[in-house]
Amino acid sequence: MNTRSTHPALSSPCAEHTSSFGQEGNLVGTLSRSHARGANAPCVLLFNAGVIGRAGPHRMNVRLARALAEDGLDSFRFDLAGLGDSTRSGSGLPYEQQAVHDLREAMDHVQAQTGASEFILIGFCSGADHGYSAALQDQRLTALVMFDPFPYPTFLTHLVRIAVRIQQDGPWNVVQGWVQRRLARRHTPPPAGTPSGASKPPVSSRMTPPQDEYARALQGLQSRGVGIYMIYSGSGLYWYNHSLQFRLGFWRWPSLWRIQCDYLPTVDHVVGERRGQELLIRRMRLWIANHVARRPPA
Amino acid sequence: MTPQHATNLHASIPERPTTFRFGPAGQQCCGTFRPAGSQHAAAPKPPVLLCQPYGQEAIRTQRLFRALGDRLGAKGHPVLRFDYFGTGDADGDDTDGCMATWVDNIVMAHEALQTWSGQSTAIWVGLRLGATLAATASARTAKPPAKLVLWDPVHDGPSYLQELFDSSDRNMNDSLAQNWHRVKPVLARAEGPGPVQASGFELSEALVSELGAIDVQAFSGVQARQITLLKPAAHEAAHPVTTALLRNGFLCKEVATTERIDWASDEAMGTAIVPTGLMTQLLAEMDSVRA
Repeated sequence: MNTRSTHPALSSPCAEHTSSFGQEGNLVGTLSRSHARGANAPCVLLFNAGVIGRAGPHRMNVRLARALAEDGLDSFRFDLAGLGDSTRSGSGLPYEQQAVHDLREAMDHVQAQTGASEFILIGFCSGADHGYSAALQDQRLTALVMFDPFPYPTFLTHLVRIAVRIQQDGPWNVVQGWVQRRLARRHTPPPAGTPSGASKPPVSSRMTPPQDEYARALQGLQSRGVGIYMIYSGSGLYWYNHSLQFRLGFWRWPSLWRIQCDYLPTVDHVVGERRGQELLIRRMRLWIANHVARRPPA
Repeated sequence: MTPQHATNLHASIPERPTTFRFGPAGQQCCGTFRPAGSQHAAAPKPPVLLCQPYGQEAIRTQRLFRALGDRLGAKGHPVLRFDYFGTGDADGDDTDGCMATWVDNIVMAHEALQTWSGQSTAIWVGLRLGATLAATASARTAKPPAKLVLWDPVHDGPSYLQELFDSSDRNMNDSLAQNWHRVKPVLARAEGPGPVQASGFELSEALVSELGAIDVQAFSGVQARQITLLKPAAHEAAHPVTTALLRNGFLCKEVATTERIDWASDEAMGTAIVPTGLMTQLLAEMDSVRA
């Protein structure tokens, strides 16, 4: 093995600085300052997906930060309390509230460092949930980009799932599996209090709000001028599996049809493939560029 | 990267875990230093440098390394863990990093750890590729580590590369609703074969070449007073690295771990693991270091 390294001259679109922040000093984040940033440009917030550190799943947050820097946007990627390099908070807040608290501390920190007063949040999986909750509470969040946000399966979702299974496994195997599961359920009744769909692969442990409540909240964000972009991966066969699902699921709330919602069947939930990463970054960059261009002048 | 870059740190030793970037501008690593608990200030234990694995294995073990650092800190060891150049939160893209650079990064991190801990000795713990890099780096430091813990080291480059590629496809097939083995050729026809990658991390030609060239000779120049090799449970024969080290006149203690882990698994966002049995074994190994 050649153990002598050569260091190529690297040209980065941004300068990055990592530091502790927050009232308790327990949070850690990396501020990425674009060399091409525009005046009054919003800052993009990136943070953990599940328990994965601030670099993001397969380093997606780092890739996004540097791509967005090329577009003239600063970003701040950070770890929520107890995750990555951030230590636990002594606040005693429940997990969900703590996450929103940390997001607001991140905005306070960036605002103090850079003067940014508007923020765009990119959230993966549970990060999308935290972003949604934070946007409801903090007017500085002017746009949400949510990857695999709360899903609301419809009857068509189930039909598509069955069709996909039949195509992949053959009709006989699908019927056989269904019968076996029914018989197993009959002989082993679920514990009291188990929801009817519990024998299916779990949607997740996420606290999915009732659809009415979610729809009204999204409408509230829309009326406040918050931009919303949803992207669903191709991993959710049981909960989101076709491109019309959002519109069909939310047909009773026509104003929500204005929300751009993309379904990317070849991109998986953890974005574990380079072409999928590049596709996702392209989509996010384009949407964010359009959102920034549409903002009213300061 | 030169050693003096390791010392562009705060002048005073931090009293709480501190995350910082170190190294020359544009090529910085990102590390977290955890000082020993204040109750150990009078008699701190040797500092520990944690050398993480590569790619998805690094993602999967990030929490393990953090938990290990916290436990070691509580026992009195100052600890430094860090992202190599081109990985994690560090500077650089996937294809900027290579083994030679990462070896330099370990040397630089070792010097940073010496500066902050105020001790000239150290224990290095390397997992998978991190163990292989640590073994190489040990021969490059002015003050080699007192102890080197090689945890499931990568010693057969072609097999390791094949594992990386296989785990990529396996993870995609598990994660995607469609059959990845059917989707992949369709995508390749439509968009070209795509870059050489392992679980979403692009590999440069130089890195593929370096990884493919790894063999047990990578461990022949190792320098440490004590060497412990942690091998996976159910690996009954002597580990090839142990055999090579003994043949070259090194003393190497071999310990079978209590758990067998698929380091490259990608089971969803909650994929990170902290196996308690392994943690206990590792902590016990730290206690056995000679001054």
